[in-house]
Amino acid sequence: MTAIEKLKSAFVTALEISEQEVNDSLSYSEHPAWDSTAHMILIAQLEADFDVMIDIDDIIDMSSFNQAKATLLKYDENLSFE
Amino acid sequence: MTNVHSAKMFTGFGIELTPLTLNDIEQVRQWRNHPDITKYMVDQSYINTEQQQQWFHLLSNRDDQQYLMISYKQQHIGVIYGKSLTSEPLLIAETIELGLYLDPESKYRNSILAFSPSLVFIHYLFHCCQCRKLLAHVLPHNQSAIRYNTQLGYEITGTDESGMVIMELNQANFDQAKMKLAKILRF
Repeated sequence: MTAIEKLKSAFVTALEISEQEVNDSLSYSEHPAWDSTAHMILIAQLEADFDVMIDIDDIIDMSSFNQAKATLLKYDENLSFE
Repeated sequence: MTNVHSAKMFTGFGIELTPLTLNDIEQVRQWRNHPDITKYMVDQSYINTEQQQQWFHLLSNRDDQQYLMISYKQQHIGVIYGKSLTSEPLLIAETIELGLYLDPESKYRNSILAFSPSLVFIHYLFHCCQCRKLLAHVLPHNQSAIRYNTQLGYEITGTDESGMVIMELNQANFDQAKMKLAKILRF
């Protein structure tokens, strides 16, 4: 599974939405499924799937699909979400 | 009657909980009247400034309720409150109902930080007071609150006569849920 597939899969699992809804415009203020519980599940999923431990400030700031990409790249510069 | 909690401040998981002051109540009123908050309240009526001041005056003379302002990085982000269901002082009440609402415009509202105030306040109620059970009545369409409460260890125990979902939390379930959430809320 590629990094982008893993990332999309984490969002699908956490937000319980279809893969078609996971795109660059997905953000916490734009989708009703993005609540505090979804955010918690998302972080747990990303930490497990990408084997990272994300700083709490980065966790709290992770409020969009694009932000998630940027955050994960910060922890592993070899990742590619192309 | 004196509010026994009036000088108490709670901290943990990155946030601070401080007793509500007169200076806070207009901000709280605006949050409370916001449609995103009101739609999940049992009482959905508009609250004017006079009603808010009257409510605060009554609150300051009660020890069976506690309203706390939630702050994160010196910014007010919401309110959490506990009410004794037996009119006993909160310190000795065995059954307490908890409520929470966050600034509807805040970016923290839908983040994991929303768990912090509940973790801090519930820990206090179970471990420093005599609370044995927390109770929540949630509107059935408020799935977000049901999911939120479930993450805190609450269990659905039924529905009341008006169709509200009844959820209950005991200390053992809370302590277990807290351990899980603390693995991510690493402050």
